[in-house]
Amino acid sequence: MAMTRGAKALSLIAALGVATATLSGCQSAVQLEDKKSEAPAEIVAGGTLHLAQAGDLAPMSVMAERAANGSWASSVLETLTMYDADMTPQPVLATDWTLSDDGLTMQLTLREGVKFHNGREMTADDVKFSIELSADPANAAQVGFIARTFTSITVDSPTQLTIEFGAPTPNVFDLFEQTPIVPEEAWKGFADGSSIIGTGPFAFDSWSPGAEAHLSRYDDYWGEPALLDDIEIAVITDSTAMLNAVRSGRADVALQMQPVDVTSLQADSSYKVINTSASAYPMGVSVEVAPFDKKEARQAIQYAVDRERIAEQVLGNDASRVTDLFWEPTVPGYPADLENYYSYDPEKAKDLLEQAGAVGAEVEITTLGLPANTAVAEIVRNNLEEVGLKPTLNVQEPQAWDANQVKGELGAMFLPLHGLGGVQPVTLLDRLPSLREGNPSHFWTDEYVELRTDLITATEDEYADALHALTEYVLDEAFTGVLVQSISQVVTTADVNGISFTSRGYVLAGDASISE
Amino acid sequence: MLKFLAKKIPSILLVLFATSIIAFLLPRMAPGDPAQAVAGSDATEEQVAAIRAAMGLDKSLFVQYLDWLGGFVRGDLGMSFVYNRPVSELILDRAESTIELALLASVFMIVLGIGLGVMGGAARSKTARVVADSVNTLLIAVPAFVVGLLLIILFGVVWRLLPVSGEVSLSEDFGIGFQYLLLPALALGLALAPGIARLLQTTMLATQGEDFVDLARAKGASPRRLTYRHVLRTSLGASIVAIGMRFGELFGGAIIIEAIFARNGLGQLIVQAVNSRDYLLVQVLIMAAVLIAVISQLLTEVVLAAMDPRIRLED
Repeated sequence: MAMTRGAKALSLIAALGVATATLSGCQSAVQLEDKKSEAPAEIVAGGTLHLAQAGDLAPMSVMAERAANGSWASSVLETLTMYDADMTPQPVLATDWTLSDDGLTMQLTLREGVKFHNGREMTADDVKFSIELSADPANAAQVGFIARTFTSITVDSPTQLTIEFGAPTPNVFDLFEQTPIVPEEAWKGFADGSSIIGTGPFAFDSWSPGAEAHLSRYDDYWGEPALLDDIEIAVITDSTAMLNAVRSGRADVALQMQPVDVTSLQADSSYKVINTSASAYPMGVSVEVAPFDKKEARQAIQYAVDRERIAEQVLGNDASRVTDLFWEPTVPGYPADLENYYSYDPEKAKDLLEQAGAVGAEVEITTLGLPANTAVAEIVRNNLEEVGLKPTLNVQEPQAWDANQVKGELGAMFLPLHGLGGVQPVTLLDRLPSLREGNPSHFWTDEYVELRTDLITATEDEYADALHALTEYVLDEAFTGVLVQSISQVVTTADVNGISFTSRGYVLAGDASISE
Repeated sequence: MLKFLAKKIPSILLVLFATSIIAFLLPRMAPGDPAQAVAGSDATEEQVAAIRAAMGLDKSLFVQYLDWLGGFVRGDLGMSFVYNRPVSELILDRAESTIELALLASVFMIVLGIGLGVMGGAARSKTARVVADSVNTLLIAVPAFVVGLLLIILFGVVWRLLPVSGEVSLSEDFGIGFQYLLLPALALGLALAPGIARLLQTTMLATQGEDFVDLARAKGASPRRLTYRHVLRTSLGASIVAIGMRFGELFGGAIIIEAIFARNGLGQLIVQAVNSRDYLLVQVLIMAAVLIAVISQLLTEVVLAAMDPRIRLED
């Protein structure tokens, strides 16, 4: 029998009523998130820290010091030493080290009573294994070239080992800083992230590739146990979504946030912005391609670029440092007088271009296709047009760029991005594609080699002069030069305390806590 | 119907075979490879070469293709070069998120599409037709990601009624999971509904003038009966085909919606796989996308035949 109109209306009302009752009985997801962001009035032990990062974790590349591992690696894995703010190595898993007078032998004493997350005690064999992993090219360790200069590593006892160097190795602590100590029997588990074993205050529980990871406090840690119970890491690739995650309370800490989004949160007292590590935006040219086969032309473009404008408009003045140097101000012997070797001087740039016969030259600028890099490239293009060149942009997506950078083929002019990683200039000489042998500038003169060698072999007293001489030479030859350094910024909610960072910008969560 | 499906198998296999070749070659045409992605941007040539050899990428393309195809036929989808995990495991981990999103978005798409189409196609109310036209035009003009961002602002920031970032699976907690799913599904459904609505409206208006409608009206059929029993039922055919086609588009739209709402579905997986040149993962996801499109087309034909007695599957 067909329903009457009244019956139909009653049915509709009843259905709406049931729906309303059901929904009102449901818990609100928004209220749950709000509760997560409400904190007690004082610092308390326990709780879960929620981190968000833009790129996926890469546990298979833990030796390659990828930025992708910055959220977890230094809380789960530990190194022999760690630099303090003055770049002086401090003991972590190594408690003592003695270097012979000729600089060719080092004896290391390891901390006793350190246990891996699988319960086994750390020994000198693990340290030897980890250094050998770093030396293996298949692990792409950026400081692996240092380990490859060792002639032997001898295990003298469970807590002592001796390293023999082929030549004095002043940057050995860069290797120690960036080589995590891992157990041999668990190394296979790093390949697929199924079992990440370290000695840190947090254990690595699980990883869902591209999605999330989970760490939990390791109660058998050799030092002070962590205050937090857990750390949850979410991979949020979209910049707007990451901003929403912070604003909505889903994330307490945001890594690799876009500078413009950091700026939008900076003025809000509900958030804190912490400066971590530095990266360099260099401008390089190929000395084999006209007009940059002439030094005057190379110097001209360095004078042509308005670095202050890049710092202000692209990166934000708080997140950048206007400098021509690849070195961070904290490095020993930092040549501060060379910091602004090239001031913005378009008239001088035009004169030099005329001397080089390069006025009106067509120049293709190859740039990495990341938002900040393309913005820098637009300013550089504009500046070069103003001084009489005819620049065009060739924007390459990251994979294409990486492939070309590895081959050292980036064209006549290029704008890379290099993480400085908190290491010594001696290490940067062989680590940075712009400076090492086979660089895309194709610059490798006898004088350059000599000045590099002088720096590597310099004694403590000679170091500052050697660094100054090398720096001045690189600036004068202008095959590459930094436009600005950017400073990575991490955003945290105001109730996050005690979070710190290594010299390469990796999170140290051992002392982190949540309060209001 | 079984006979109909059996006849389709050879053409489906041909499509999948051709897709396998395209899926294999296409990612390899782009610069870079998984070894480069794992090594990082500051690696040396020696380091990249060592990783490439360890991954087996130094074998000839033909050998790599045969190895992969042989495994695929046996049900072994291969190992991700980047994640070192079975491709099947990576896909299954994310599949629930995308299936939930696609299903609820389909419901929104169908309900809103047919609802707006009927509103515009029913001859009775000019006002309703104007409203339907305006809504359709607005939704067609506004891209899905803009709709998504507007929903985030309204429901997540201004009114704070629904969560706008992350997800909880329905199997884990239905109530909370549904709240996370509502806005992304609505954004996706709203983007695809107007095409269906416009098609249905046009077809219904054309059908209004048919002889059998005049006959039904002359026999005393009520306007409601005319609309739903005669006009709508006859007009649904083209819309069903459109729904079938849009079901495949749902997965494409899901990529952007997943990014905006920070959901970890297959859309984000394929973006990550393409960016890291994770060849095997990309290949399998392309094959899966084509298979879904083929299946949705078959289902469309079956539904169409069920609704319209003039259509025989065997034809």
